[in-house]
Amino acid sequence: MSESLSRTPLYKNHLALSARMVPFAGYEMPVQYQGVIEETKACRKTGGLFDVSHMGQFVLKGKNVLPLLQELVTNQLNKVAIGQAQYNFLCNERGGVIDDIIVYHRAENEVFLCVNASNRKADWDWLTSHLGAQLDFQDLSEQTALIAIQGPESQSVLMKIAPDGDWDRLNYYWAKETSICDIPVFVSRTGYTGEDGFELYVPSEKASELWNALLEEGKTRGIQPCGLGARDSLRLEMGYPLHGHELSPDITPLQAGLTWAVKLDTVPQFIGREALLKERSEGPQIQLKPLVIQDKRIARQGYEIANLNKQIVGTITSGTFSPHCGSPIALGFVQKEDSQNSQYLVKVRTDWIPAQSTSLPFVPSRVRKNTK
Amino acid sequence: MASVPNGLRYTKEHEWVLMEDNIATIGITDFAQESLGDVTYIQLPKEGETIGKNDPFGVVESVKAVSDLYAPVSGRVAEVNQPLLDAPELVNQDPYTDGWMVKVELKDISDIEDLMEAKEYKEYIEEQG
Repeated sequence: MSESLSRTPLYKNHLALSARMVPFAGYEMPVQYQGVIEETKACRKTGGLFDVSHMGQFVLKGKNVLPLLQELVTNQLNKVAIGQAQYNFLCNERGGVIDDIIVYHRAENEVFLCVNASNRKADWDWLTSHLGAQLDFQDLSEQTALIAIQGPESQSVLMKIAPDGDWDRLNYYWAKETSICDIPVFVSRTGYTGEDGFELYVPSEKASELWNALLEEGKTRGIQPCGLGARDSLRLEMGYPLHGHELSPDITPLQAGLTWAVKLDTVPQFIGREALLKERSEGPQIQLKPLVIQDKRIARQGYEIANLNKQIVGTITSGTFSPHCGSPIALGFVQKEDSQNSQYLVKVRTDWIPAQSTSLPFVPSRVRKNTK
Repeated sequence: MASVPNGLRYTKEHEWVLMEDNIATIGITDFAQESLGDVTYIQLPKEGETIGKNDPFGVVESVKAVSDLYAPVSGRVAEVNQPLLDAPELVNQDPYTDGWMVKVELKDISDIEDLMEAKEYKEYIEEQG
């Protein structure tokens, strides 16, 4: 592999588990260990352990950090209590998505951001160019590893290896500083699989130790290490967007059907708001369509979508085989005029194959339902 | 390490050929199935169709990628592994036995002469990493 690729602190752990490594967002990442389908199933049945250390982390500190950051993000930050997290978009003036990020209100006058690896530089430049004078910025990406444990057995694993963690009281999209096996971790009840689970931010030098502790206890409960292949299938089964596919600087959250994280009515000002207000009143020109493919072949990114008259009306952005649907599934954008059809055709090589429009998620979500 | 049985012939596109009289049984190698990952779809020619050496004759699709199958020999398709079309995962489980794809009646036996022997193919995939 190219020498310019970075490695996560868990690189050797992956090799020891015979992972197949692939380049992804500038990193050598495990795409699979035992097989994408097996890992995808294991995660929903018992659980999966994921290295997502390629993700970037920034800390922003300073007085009025929330109202200042609000000028750059679409969701409503004044609703985020200390200890809570919120999904957000960083939009450009056109309402296009520079990145989708999680904002953690970690302490008074302090936020912690988790950003996509491939957008880390763009995010940093955008954030610092707008807020660099008012806030103190730190990029913690290199010194921070991120391990996700996802699936129904996740909480049992944490309860076993960190019995004092009071895990049952940590709600969805809440996070806390704690320690597991004497390792300092920032634990968040979030994920990208649609299962209950946790994401653990850990100092890089302690990542391997934490990974091994989670894996050892997890194995006894059927939890498997999962690669990026399973991660992609799991997120697609939920219809979660992936930046570079369903989101980009040329795609707005409204087009991608993610209006729930865009608070046009309650947040008076943020970059992109004017464009998004206009788009909302006119109706987006393209709309995201979840499709169940009625064939064995996978509809992949870039494949054309047509109406039943074989007129091209859109493009696939993501596709995979869903073990839980038992068929290929896909996401794609179609033009407004054809966005209400129930049936489409997708061009796979030389053939047109039928695709049924459906609603998200493809597989029911089982994320933690907050108790309070 | 991918398995490379002796007695078969191999192509650079990672197909294997078993010769019995003038019938060539064709499949993809263990190295190929490992690289592809979980196979979800296989498209093969129908019985009686003719395939031409080095031409695409089918498609293997995995969760990760779509690959053409290239004919290692020319001839008439005498038999297709029908169970494989319904259970493409057989290619991952048993690439050299249950995962065979087609049997082809060769026009010209010398078609196999330029195919690699097991030893050569092993070296070839080591170079491929």
